[in-house]
Amino acid sequence: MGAEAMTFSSLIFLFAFFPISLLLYYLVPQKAKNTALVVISLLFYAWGMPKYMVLLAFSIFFNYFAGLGIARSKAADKRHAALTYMVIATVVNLLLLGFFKYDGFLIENINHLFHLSLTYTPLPLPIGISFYTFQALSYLFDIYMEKAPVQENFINFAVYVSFFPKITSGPIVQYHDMVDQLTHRSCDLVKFGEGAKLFIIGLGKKVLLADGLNTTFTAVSALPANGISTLTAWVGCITYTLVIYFDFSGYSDMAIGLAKMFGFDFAKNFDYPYISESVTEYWRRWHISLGRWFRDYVYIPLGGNRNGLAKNIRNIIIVWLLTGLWHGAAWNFIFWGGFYGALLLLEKFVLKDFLPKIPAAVKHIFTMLMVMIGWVFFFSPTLPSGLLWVGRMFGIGAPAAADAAGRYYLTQSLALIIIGAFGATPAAARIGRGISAMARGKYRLALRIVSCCLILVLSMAYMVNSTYSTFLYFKF
Amino acid sequence: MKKTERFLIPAAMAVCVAVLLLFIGFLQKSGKISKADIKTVSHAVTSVTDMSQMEEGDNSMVKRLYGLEPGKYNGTVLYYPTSAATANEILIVKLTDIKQQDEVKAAVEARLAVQKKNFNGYGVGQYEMLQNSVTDISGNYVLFAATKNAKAADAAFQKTL
Repeated sequence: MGAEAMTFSSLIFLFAFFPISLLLYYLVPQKAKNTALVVISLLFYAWGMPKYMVLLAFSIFFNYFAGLGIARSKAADKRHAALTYMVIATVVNLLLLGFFKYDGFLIENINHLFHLSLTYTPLPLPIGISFYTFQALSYLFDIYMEKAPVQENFINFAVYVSFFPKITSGPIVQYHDMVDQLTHRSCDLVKFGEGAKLFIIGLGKKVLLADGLNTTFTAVSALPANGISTLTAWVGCITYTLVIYFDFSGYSDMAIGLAKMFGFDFAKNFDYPYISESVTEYWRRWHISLGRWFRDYVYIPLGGNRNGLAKNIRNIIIVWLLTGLWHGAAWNFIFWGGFYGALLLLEKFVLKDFLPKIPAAVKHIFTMLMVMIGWVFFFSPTLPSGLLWVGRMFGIGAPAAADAAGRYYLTQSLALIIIGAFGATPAAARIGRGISAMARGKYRLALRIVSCCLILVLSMAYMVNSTYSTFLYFKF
Repeated sequence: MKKTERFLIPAAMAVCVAVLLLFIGFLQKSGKISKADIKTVSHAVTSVTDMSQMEEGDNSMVKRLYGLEPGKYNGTVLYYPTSAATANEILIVKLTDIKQQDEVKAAVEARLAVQKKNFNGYGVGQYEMLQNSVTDISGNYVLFAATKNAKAADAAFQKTL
């Protein structure tokens, strides 16, 4: 990879790429809008890694033809041929993803298990490969399951796969949700304004909160895990919990906002997950598009909860191990997925009668504790280091309950932690709406515009003074 | 399904896969990490090259001629011309990260452009040699060879990686 990938929170995107793209899109005639979007999207993707454009082009061409194959076979009532196209295309897509994402993990484990010394060439992970591969698979499955008609127009299909707001970190938009918008969409001033507002809020989440808290987390995570105090371990865990939320939900807001400005409507990807009172509820609110993808294309086709208890448990375990594996090729991610699978099984089958009797506050604290422990395995480079960190959080092997480093990092980040914890609840938005409601008529609109401008200016001030900052989910 | 489509759709999918495999082959080659010692690589290259018009340059010379900071890399070996009338030159860089490929490539291209400008219309043989020079980026190694038999130097370079 040469230059850095373009991000929504970079000055080049805000001051050059985005305004030029918008201008181009609205200047070209209606018929050429999708072609313009493909050009813009390919340029966006090629910015930091032109080499990997070949992979994206492959995904577009290959899946376009595979979709035609499935649809034509179905139309001719050749079910076996349709199934063959679908299976071959799925296998090729998964092999491609596996080659770039899991080859090292697989070979290292084979070497370890069988005492071999197989070698491999470590290649940089193509940005967004997990996201656009899952979207391509959604297209194939939707055509096969007849949830949506085949896309005959190549340019429209290229827009679906490569549309730049969602290509690097989602949301994973399912084909049947986007198919109509590929040909019929509109954007008036109100919708454009909503998109711009969402984009600015997302930018603020990323630049002002996630990047700010990440300074503390980066410093804490660089400390040797076996020497940290209980306080330091908690500070690291709390800051990461907030960083990943504001980073990823900020990106999603920006992506959905941008899409709106180009006339598309995507469903929300986050719904205040940290207010959840159970792990089940949490996963209905966190990375909603990924959860839906696994539900619609893995859990339900496997039988969901329809074929008895044993198969339901099996299906839940499969989905959660795959969810873990989707996030990364390492045992700590698989453990993280399994950890959630176990918690969900516990809530669904063991605690289902007991949970309604527990006070909401207790349930919330328990859920957040589990989520935070989960994040430790997520940010730790290996499974043992994750276990070590969790141990330190509960005083196991910690040299002290609190030390100077822990106190320093807590003091450094306390204000942002409080703001972040508050901002992760609907209360912040409610207060914003309350203040806005107090103003009347044109003053209300002016107040909203001024608030957005304030967030934008503050974010830009931070961006000018900061170095390149990517998004955490780029690596997935 | 029409007869043509019955043939064309799988054919198009197969072409896509073939292009993908070629691309992966290219990535494998360009991303290959060699454990070979830079001295071994340098010895292999110089043993097939006429070194009579070159002398070994130190880190400051690498910086002066290429603008590269040798401390950033796992190793650099430079042989540069003993006289201003010749353009013979060999540079081998062992990268610490394959992400450095682009910056080293840019430095080599810049040096080659300068040398071509220097010898254009002045030393026909030297200019031709620069035209036929080899820049080979192979994973964590980069070779620049402006010598009379640059292809042999490149073959020796590839063999040791």
